[in-house]
Amino acid sequence: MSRNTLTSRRYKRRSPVRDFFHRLTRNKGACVGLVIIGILIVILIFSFFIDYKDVTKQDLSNRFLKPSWEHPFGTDDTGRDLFLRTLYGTRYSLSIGFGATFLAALLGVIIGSFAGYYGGWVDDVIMRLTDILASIPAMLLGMVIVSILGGSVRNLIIAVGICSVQYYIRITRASIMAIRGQEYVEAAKVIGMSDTKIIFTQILPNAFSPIIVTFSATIGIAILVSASLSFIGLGVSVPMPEWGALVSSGRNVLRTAPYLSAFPGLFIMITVLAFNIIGDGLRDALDPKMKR
Amino acid sequence: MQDDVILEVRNLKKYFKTNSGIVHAVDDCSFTINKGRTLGVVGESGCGKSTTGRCILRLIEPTSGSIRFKGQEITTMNRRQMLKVRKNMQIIFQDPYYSLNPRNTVYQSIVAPIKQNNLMPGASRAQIEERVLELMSTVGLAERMINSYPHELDGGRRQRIGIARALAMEPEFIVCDEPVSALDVSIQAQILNLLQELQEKRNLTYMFITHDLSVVNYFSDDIVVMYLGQIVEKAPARELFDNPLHPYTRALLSAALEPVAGANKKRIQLKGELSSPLDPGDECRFAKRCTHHCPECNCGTPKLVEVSPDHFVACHLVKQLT
Repeated sequence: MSRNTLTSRRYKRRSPVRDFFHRLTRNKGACVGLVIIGILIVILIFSFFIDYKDVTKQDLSNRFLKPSWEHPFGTDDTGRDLFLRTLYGTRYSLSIGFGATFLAALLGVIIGSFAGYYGGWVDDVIMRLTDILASIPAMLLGMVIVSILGGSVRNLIIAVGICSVQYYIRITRASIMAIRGQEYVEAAKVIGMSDTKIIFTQILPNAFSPIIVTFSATIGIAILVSASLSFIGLGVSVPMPEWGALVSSGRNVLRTAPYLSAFPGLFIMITVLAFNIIGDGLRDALDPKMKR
Repeated sequence: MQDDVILEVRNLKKYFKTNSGIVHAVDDCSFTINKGRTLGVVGESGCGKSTTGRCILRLIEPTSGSIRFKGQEITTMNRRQMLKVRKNMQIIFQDPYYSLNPRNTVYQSIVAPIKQNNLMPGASRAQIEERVLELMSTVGLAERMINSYPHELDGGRRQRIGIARALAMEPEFIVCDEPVSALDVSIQAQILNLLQELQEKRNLTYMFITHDLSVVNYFSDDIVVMYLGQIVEKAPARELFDNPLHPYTRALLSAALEPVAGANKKRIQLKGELSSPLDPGDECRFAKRCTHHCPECNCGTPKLVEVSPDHFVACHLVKQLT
């Protein structure tokens, strides 16, 4: 047997992916978060078997019923079953939250990388434009975009995504500026790597922790902003049971029927919490310096 | 001296514009390095040694001047031409804690130059792995460390990774930018021995940047002494140590500790601070701290003058000093 095969067997390469999952699954908090998101995904799949007619079926003789076995979350002002509506709403909240955040992260990381890496006038132009974007209140900006594009899930994703893109530009730029001057970046230049390759293979992986944490935090914000837009009638159209819209519609009867806001609110809270602790877990798992 | 010149730097200047003025980081430096030799570049922090090294690799774009590597002018080269030249010139960085990507294993760090430049076209993974192991053993890294991350290794081993990475390109010329100043003294010696061994085996040419005179004495054939961006003295190592002429060189040499009791009593102590490299006037930049200061020193920047074969000094009082 030649030495080549011997060494390749003896020094089996560490798989970065396996290392990562190993570290992630050893983090108890992250596991809890993953379980919650898993449950949400099950609910999401389950919700596709719910008949939309049941979700919107009004039963005026059974208005404001308290939670019971028949209606676990109670019924609302037109007698619709809140349990079904909340489960059905998972798809809107999750897809808007994920979609908008993903869009914002993608755009923000790319734009922020170039601003941070090149500096100078590139940085100035990008950051002044970001300042303009940041100076407009997110709600106002979202309202403008949705009213131009029209209200639908896709347009809500675009609007909410653009509202949170500035966080990613800033955080990516800041972490890249800190890393850009490191000697290993120069070392990569010396071996002939192109700027783009350096950004994506050398700098970004080391700048990832704050981006990941921002990602999980902004999913929550995105869900809330889209809910607010739905509340003022600019989000998904009214009969659609988006969580935020459910919370808002229960607001008028908060004193007599608090469960109408509480249950969808609880779903939002648990979802945001789950994403946050997963974010923390990811940050630790992505860092090879963490003790194994 | 004309034969076998591998690197020729002429009138290299690097100015940085800042809000408070123009920093003359490197000002009109010229030197040559012959193949297989080592040029030591000495000077205190901020004198432009590292900037010079980085300009040669064009990690920093020089403001003006000419750099010829193996007869080719490289300051005007475009990216693609520069890539070809860079295969022949590499750098070993000062701090092995920052010069290695913390997310890359030893294997990944050393294999990067091979993959990036397709140095082993058509080679199988096992062959590439074999090459990495060979490089590791060349620099004295145990095979079992192939999958370690930099933070799991000590400074000396990290520096060995940096050396292996530079060697992967099979360069002829290596800029060593204070490669041992971040290491313990005992490890310094190991790394220096390794570098010397490699030089003998592979006929490497070094530009060795350091602030440590004892290191440079051990290592260099020729020495350049820099002060505030300018070369103040240039001579073969032996000549410089035996017969230092420039007052700054003398002060530097007297500051180096000698392992003999009582040998360090007659030190020349420099007074005052390093003057600012911001918009320096047309005068001797060392004048304010010089023990031989006289009115002449404020009239014009002194030029490098050859006082004896291959020994150059930039001082107005050169006649008095010799």
